[in-house]
Amino acid sequence: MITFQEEQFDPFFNEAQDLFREHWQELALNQVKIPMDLDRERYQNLEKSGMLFVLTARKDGQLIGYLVAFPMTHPHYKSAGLMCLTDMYYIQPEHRKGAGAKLFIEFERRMKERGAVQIMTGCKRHQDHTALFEKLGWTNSDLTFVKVLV
Amino acid sequence: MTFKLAHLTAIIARELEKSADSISASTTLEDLGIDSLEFIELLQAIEDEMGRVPDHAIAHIETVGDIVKYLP
Repeated sequence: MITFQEEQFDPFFNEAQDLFREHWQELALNQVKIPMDLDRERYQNLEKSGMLFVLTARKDGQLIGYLVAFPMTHPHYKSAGLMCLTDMYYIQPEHRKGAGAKLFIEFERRMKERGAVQIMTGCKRHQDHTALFEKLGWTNSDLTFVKVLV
Repeated sequence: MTFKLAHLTAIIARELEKSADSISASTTLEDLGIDSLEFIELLQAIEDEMGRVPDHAIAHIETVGDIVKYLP
């Protein structure tokens, strides 16, 4: 059975190294010019500041996926309340039978429990989850562009 | 088979174009061969006819029987 739970960053980071690599290899653009190099200290500092949320997916205790996000007030909308932007999310391919939807439903439920007023996420054009997000009640509100300068 | 399970099975069979005989309470989401989008679409079709599954329960749905358990 797949379970979803919030976890502390450091033990998750240690355990998730293979999944980070799989995730990056599957998804990242410009892998030669922009290599993966997760900034552990930055994540630790965010956690100390209360601005890191780690939700894991485990099957029979084995880590199979995660959703990492940054809960904080938005610098543009300070008085509006807590918002949360996803940093990264991943489910191993062999477990993608509804687990992705459950991951996002759990993320939303837990953010509501924290009193968040808005959640934000995104996806790559080449792995477009628009249909799923819209089915889950999300609104496609922004476009993001990238230009590599090296 | 309870009425609720029979009704649910009929909905799943219709939505996924499968034989109702191939679906039982122990049928898993993996057995149904659906991805996340299909799971949500299926859940919405079920909720349209049978009532809402609580948000907190969705993460715990692994089988057709689990859906029956959480339906009102």
